[in-house]
Amino acid sequence: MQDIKELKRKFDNYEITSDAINPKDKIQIARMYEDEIENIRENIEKMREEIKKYENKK
Amino acid sequence: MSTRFERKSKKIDEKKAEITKEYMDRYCKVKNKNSKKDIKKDLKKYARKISRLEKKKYGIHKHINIKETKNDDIYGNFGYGRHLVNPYLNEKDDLKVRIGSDMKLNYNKVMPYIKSDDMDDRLVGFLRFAETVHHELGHLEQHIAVDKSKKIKDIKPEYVYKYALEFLGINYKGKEYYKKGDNYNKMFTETNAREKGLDGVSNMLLKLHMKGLNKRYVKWKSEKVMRDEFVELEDLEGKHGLEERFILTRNIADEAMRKNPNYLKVLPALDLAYTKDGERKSLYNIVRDDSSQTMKIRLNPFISKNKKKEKVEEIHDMYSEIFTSKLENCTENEYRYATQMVGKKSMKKMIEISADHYEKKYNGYIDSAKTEKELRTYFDEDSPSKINRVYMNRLEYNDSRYAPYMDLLNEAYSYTKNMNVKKLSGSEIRKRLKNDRQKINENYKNRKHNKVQTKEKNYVDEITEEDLHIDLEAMRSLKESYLEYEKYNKAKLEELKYKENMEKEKNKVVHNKDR
Repeated sequence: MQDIKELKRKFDNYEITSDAINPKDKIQIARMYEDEIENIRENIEKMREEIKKYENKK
Repeated sequence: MSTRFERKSKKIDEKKAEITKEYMDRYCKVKNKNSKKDIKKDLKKYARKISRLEKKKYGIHKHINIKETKNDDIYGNFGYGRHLVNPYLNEKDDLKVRIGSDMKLNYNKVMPYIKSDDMDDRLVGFLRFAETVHHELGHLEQHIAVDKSKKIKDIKPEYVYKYALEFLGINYKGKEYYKKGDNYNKMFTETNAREKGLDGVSNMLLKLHMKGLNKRYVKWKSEKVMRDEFVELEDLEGKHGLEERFILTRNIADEAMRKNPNYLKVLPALDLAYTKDGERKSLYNIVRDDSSQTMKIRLNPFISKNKKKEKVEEIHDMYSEIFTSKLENCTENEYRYATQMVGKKSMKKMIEISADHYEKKYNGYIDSAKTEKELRTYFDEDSPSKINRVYMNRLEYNDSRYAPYMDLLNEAYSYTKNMNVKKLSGSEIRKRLKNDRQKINENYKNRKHNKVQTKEKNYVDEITEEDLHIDLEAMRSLKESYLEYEKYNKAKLEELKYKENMEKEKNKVVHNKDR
């Protein structure tokens, strides 16, 4: 797991390209990206709802 | 079929021509023997009559004070104006209001011409005076256009945007900037007003069937008129090389808006390009605004087909300027995010519209230049071969300007290489991810242990990158774009919370005072 995390960290920082990652690890990294994106999207949705509340108050 | 505005304009132009003929007979045909005082009074009457008719044409209800000036330092015109129909920001960024519009005419400058024994002198003098009146009315129109409280007929949206940028620059940098070096001659608001002045006189002369006189006057005036954007622009920081004037104006406007977003109140037309926070609107918003505004026109059943085409092109012209300004000042991630949001097709279309707009402009300069001398004023070169080279360079520059952005569009940056990406919502991304994972899992079940060569390592799976349909670079880019969007929303929320707290504090203070 540590290897994958390290691999992803390097990829995130543009230290390696996807060519250097084997297909099996790519899948895992893709899942990690999916989870991260999902978390960010949920965060964004919560913030948008709060923003709407403030704007409706006006 | 002519529009109501066109019919109204025609009647007004005819009336203006009648009045002008009356004055030309009085002051140009023969030398007028009235006293200077009476002539001054009469010329003022002329200015008032023409102004009233022009205002009626464009639906302007602002009063103009016609005054006299003895100021000789007015760039060769016979007067100048102060059109302060909007509130403005002073040095301390306070919102002040100055209401009123002045047209100051230098009758002393006209007098030697009117009193000359030579008919040509009398004609030139009177026509320059008439031109000055139209020039100042042109400025008034510009100020009202950016105010947006009134709709001025027949003004191109692109011009409204450019007026707003320049007025912002003048207000921010001060009069020094406006008058420094040759800036005055190169401001779009000035060249535009100069054209209006000339057109005003031309229209009247043509209505009076004075083609020959019109030709002579226009030719004489054209040699004095400095046009357009390929001339060196000097500002307070020093001379600039050959570049489009608007790059400089735009940069100044960006700086001004960042320092004080309140300028939006002063120049409402700036909301075409700037947000309430004083930042340039995002690429996504610009493309979306262009699309929604043109859609409104297309769906309007009361506009003829030809008029629709004209209006749509005008909207595109304006947004081409705003879009290109932003495109050249955004990060790759912003560009990718915007493309994800609007779709590759829309982004490509916007780029093509913008490239066409600039090409049309460059071609327009070449076509409209009637003499080599005029061409030289556009391109600041001194030989036809050099001019051709510069022109070709401009076209190449135009093509290459947008090439990197087109290249990015052609890259497989979207999540799935083989699908046409329109608008990726979060659930769509997840769905695709899920589908791909399932596909991958199925492949794994059926896999044989074969060696697969890749650039860096040898793997024991037969699965190739194509089979996987995973583009990690795209996913990384998408995550970065979402992070940026998250940051944007966080900042927006913090600002709203801050404003609410400030209101609460304010109310507390008021409440305590009342006790």
